[in-house]
Order: sequence, then C-alpha cells, then structure tokens
Amino acid sequence: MLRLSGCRLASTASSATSNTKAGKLLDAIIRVDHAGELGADRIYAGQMAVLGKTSVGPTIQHMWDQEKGHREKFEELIRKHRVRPTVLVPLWNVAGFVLGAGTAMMGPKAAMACTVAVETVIVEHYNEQLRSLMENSDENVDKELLDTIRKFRDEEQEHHDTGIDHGAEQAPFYKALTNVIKAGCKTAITISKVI
Amino acid sequence: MAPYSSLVNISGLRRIVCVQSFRGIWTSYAARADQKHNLAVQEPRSESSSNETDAEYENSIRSKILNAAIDFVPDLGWSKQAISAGAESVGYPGVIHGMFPNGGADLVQHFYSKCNKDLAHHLKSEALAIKDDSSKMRKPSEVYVKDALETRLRMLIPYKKTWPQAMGLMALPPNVPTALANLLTLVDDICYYTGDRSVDFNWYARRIVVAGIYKATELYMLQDNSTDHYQTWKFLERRIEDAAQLHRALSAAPGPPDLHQAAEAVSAAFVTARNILGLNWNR
Repeated sequence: MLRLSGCRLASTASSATSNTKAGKLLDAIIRVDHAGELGADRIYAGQMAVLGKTSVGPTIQHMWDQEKGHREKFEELIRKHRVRPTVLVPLWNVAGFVLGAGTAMMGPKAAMACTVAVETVIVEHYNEQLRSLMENSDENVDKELLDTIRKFRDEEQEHHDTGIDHGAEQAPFYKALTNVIKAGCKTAITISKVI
Repeated sequence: MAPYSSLVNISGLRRIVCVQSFRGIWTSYAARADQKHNLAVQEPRSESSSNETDAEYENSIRSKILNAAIDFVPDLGWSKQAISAGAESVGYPGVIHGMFPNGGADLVQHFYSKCNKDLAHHLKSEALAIKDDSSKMRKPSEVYVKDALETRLRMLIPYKKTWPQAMGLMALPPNVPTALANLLTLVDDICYYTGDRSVDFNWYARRIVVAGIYKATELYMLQDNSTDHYQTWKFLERRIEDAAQLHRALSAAPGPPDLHQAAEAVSAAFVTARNILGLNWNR
C-alpha cells in the first residue's frame, strides 16, 4: 500500500516548492493538465457510450486509450510533486461525460467536431505551457515534465487531425459548435489553474 | 477603505524605519563587539555581506529572536513583551519587537510552522525507517494518524496555559489566512506520510476530516486535567474511530447498484431523445 520511494521522500514538499515562483508554475501546470486529461478521458468515455458500436468506435477507442495513458501520467506527477488536485474534479468528471455523450448523440461528425475543438484548445494550451516553462526555469528545467508535455502535445495534435479526417467540418453548425466548446474549454482551463 | 490603506502605509513605513534603525543598532553593536573580539565577529559579518541577501539576513535574525522568545511565552504570553524578552536574552535590544509588526501573531506563526516542520521531519524519518527495514510491520493508517496527531499536540503541552490566547490571536481576521495555511500544511504532511496518494476529491475529504479531528482534540486538550492528558488521547482515539466508521459506511454503501441504475436511466433517456429527434444511426 505504501508506495514511498526514497527519491519521492527526498523531493521537497509542495508547501516548500510552491513558495518559489518556479514551484508555483509547476504546481499550476500539473494541476490544470491533470484536470484537462481527466476531462478528455471523460469526453471519450461519453462518446464511446453512444458511438461505441458504430464504425467510428475503434478510432475513438484508440484515442480514449491514449487519453487514459495521459491521465495516469499526470496522476503520477501529482503524487511525485505533491501537487494539490483541482477541487473541481467531480464537476469536470460529469461535464466531460455530458459533453462527449451530448455531441455524440448529434452524430459521429458532431462528435469529431467536438474532438477537434477540444484538441485545438489543448494543443494551444500545451504550447503555451512549454513556452513559459522554457522562459522561467533557466537553470533546472524539469526535463520529465517538459518531455511529457511535448509528447502529449503531439498526440493531441494527432487526435485533432483524426477528427478532421473523419469529416468533423461537415458536422451541423460546425462553426458555432466548435466555438462554444472552445470557449468552454478555455474557461475550464482558467478555473483549474487557480482552484 | 481609505483609513485602512493609510493604516497599512503607516505600519509599512514603521516597519521600514524600524528595520533601518535596527540595522543601525546592529552595525554599531557589531562594531563594538568587533573591537573586543576581532576575529570572532569578523567571520559572520563577511559571510553575511557576501553570501546572504538582505532578506535572508533579516530572516535569520527574526527566527533567532523568535526562537528565544518562545521560552518566555509561559510567563509573558504570546505578546510583544515575550519578543522583547527573547531579543534581550540573545543580545539584541528589547525595542527590536518593532521588527514584528504583528506582535504576538508573528510569534504564534513562527511557533506553529516550527512545530509543523518538526512533525514533518519526524514523520519522514519514521517512513524512511519502515522502508529500510521491511521486517517491521507497517502500522494501520488509523494508528499512524493518531500517533502523528498526538505527537503534534504534545508539542503544545508546555504552552498549554497560554495556548487559548494564541488560538484567539490566530482567529483574528487578518491572521486567518496564515492560520489556515498552517493547518493545511499540517494535515497535508500527515496525510502524505500516512500514504494518501489520492488524486480526486478524496484528497480534500481526507484533509478536511483530519483537520477537524485535530482542531476538536486541540480544544479538548485545553480543558483536560487528567494525568498526562490521558482523556485527550482517548478522545482522539474515539474521533478517529468515528471517522474510520464513516469511511467504512460510505465505501460499503450500495453505491455501485445505484450508479448502475442511474447510468441505465441516462442511456435510456439518450436513446429516447435520439429516436424522437430522428438521429438514430441504425436507420
């Protein structure tokens, strides 16, 4: 049950790291990314619940499996750096599922449009984080976090492209739908950074 | 708003003035000591000018004075008087209490964070000892939490008589954020070293429960006159048993079937809505 490794114990507590500017940045990044991957995981879960038995099922399943991996990675980072998880975990849990299932009910193309909208925001967000990490930590940039974000950014970009390939742009009300979802994601990100 | 901000300005100004005048006193003090023990004083002075920044230098003196002041708390309370007495005991002038604009609250804060650090250190070495020696059985987490809370509460016993005053000070609105941060650091350390690795809402639930138990037991201890606070530790045991029971009841509750029914109801609603809207993909 007790999974304390020596290096984990030796790593400073969050109360200690969060006092510095770099520590605060690290805290916020890990918290918001965990919340984001949790949301993404739930969106795909919602899509699978509706579209699981259709022809796009395997594609969604593949993306879902990748998102599960992302979520596990950030859960591990939360434990390692003793970051406080966001207080809105239950809310993102439900909101993600509802968004996924809701768009999937409008048809596979709308589901793909939702994927495209979400992944666009996430890729932008990861790029922003990479930039601020590079800027702020001049001497000891956290290599693991940097590589993780870079790898995940690339995979999210793949999901975005998959969505476009599956005819996301032909979804009903594509423009309006993606804009609403994008705005929602951005708000969620801003909130999760703080609480 | 305006009177408040001017008050802040004044207190800020006073602090700067005090620090500067304190600097003057310190340098003159150092210069005098310099003449007496040339070598002994020269070394720390050169070190302070080269290695430490101004803030670190100030902080080290602050904590030195506050550490000394804690010894005077049982007699003088969490007050400016205790800080003055402490400062004098380590060779600074008594007026130096001006360095601590919050007076007693600064002293309480220092004591609180010092105890938290001691406890974290204690828990860490305990966890490492268990890890190194795998033959030793790990205590169940209830016992672990109880031991941690008892260790922490025992740190308050020497100051028990004046502790209500400290609690009152920390409950004043300007000190509430610091008090909450202190309490959260304490329960976060306990939960972390007990092996809590949750990343969901349980993270909050556990910490809130432990904080509640700590606060309740702290209050109980203040009016407990039994030998070695025997009653308090019994009280603590009962509170932890309550929490464990609550946890067991929640995890044993018929959650999964309910959840299953809810999921079925929602998917039925989805299917119906889809059929009504004509979005069924089977057609």
